[in-house]
Amino acid sequence: MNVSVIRKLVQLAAFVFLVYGSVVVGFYSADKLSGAFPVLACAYDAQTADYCALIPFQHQMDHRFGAAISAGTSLLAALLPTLITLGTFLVLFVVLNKAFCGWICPLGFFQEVMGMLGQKLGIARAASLSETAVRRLRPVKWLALVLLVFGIPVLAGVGLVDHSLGSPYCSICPSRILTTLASGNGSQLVMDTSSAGALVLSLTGALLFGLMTSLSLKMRQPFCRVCPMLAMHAMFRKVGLVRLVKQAKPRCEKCGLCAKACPMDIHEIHTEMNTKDVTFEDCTLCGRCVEFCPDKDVLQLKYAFVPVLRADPVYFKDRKKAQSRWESSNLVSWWRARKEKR
Amino acid sequence: MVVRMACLGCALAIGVPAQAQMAWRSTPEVAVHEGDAGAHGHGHGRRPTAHYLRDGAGAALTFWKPNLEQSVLPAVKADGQVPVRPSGVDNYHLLMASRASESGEEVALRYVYMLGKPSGQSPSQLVGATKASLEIVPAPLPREHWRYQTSAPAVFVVRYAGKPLAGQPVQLVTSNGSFLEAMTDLEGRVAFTLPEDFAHVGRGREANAPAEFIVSTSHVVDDFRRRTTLSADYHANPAHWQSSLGGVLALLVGFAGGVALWRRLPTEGRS
Repeated sequence: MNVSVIRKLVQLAAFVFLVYGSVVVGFYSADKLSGAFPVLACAYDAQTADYCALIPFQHQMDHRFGAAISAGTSLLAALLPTLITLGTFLVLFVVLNKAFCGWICPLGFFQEVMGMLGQKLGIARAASLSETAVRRLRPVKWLALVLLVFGIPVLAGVGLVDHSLGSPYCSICPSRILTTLASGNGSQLVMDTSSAGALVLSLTGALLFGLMTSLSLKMRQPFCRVCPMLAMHAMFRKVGLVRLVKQAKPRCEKCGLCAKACPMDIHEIHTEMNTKDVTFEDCTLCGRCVEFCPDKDVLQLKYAFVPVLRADPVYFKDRKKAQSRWESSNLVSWWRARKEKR
Repeated sequence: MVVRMACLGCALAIGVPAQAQMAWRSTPEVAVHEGDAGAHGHGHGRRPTAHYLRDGAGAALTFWKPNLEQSVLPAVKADGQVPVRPSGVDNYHLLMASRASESGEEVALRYVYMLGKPSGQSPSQLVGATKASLEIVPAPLPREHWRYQTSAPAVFVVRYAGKPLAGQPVQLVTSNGSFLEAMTDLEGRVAFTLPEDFAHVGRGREANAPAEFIVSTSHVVDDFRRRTTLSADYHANPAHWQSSLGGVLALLVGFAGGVALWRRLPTEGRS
């Protein structure tokens, strides 16, 4: 069993736990694991096991910080709940670092499952995005974090924008629609006509979910690239215990298999020759680059200082064969083979 | 489980004692809900909140904190008002009124959410504790992003001496004038679909003040009658201003847009 298969099993278990985990942890908000989980586990899902950190941040900016600015009261006191949420987020984040994205996030898993479905339906996979396209996309996640998670909620709290914009990121988050639908609740896939702001946000959310779903059939992790949670992770990636480490060799310059294997199209994994810690801002620590590196120990996933996955030529050959087998069997090839038999 | 529905006038006409029982409310008896957005007390603030006890003369009032710590509330004022000071901790608290006589016992319960320092307690603890011999328990209580609303089920468990009471008739009346009746199942569970009884529904959550329902039941053992009520807010269903069809259509447009973008993505083999 290769690392990708193990990762899928972990993702499946995490999906089931995070979407339906209230059966284990309890129904009420006070029962949830942390209230500031570092993945998109949605509070709108009544059966969730925990809440994503982004929802308390938006509420705190709207109801506490923005309201304190408006009322002229102590900003430090208003920020205290945000600091507690951030502290809780960091306590968890240190344990797995950005691997929360690559191994735990329900929305990340959904996109990978859609990718597998697309592959099995015979939809030709898109090649890696160009360096230019990746460079242009990267600021979007930071904008989403700054504007949708912090900026607009503060403006709503101050009263400069409509209160329906108090939690704008949640209003467009595809995970809200995915996890509620997965728990049998269709109340989040709606067009909300209560105000102009709610109408725009609800339609954007539904459009984004549809767009992400169809793009996932063709390309890898389309939403992850613009997710504000990825930006949150990027800010604190230096404190996490899991790292992607590279000991570059001259052969690296001609190879580039690691960048091709990367679902986030991080070309720097290939081109970086000096820095050892190659946990770049878009990395989700999925470990795929390590699996597809043919040179011994060039790429490693380390937990603290202990290597947990090392590049290995023997493993690489097996992994490549397994990937070829996986990619060669799909609905189109099965249909062609059936026709030829006839 | 059997559910019957009638208007409140019909209920009173057939002698159901729905309006005659001791019950908590968050507004005075004369309050009108429609068009009264924002005037309704939710028990969510940090300032003392007024709650009202109907027909509560002579009742002993108890305030339960999330950790099950109890304190005595001041007596009911002439207009039925009971000022409740926040405990300083967050999460659900319980208002309890009880009154006993030779022939019976009456209990009124209302769970109120308060803000404050984290209590560190789950509402499961408060809901699970036995507070009275005959008790109606929410299953579950509302929580963030999930609350009682019209056309949606509200589920309760009736417990007697801490154990589920099967085959027990339970009534639900609303401040908008609806009446429902149902029987508990073998697990003491009863579910009502809250009626669509808001006369005017505005667009959006803030445009609609909540209404209230009172769930009640009575149980006689050895000629000793026990009666209990549980009251709570419920809200207009967002389906009035939200369209599922619109949401699905937007999703399909997004999906088609994504498929259209496929052509712009370079197609090659991967590693």
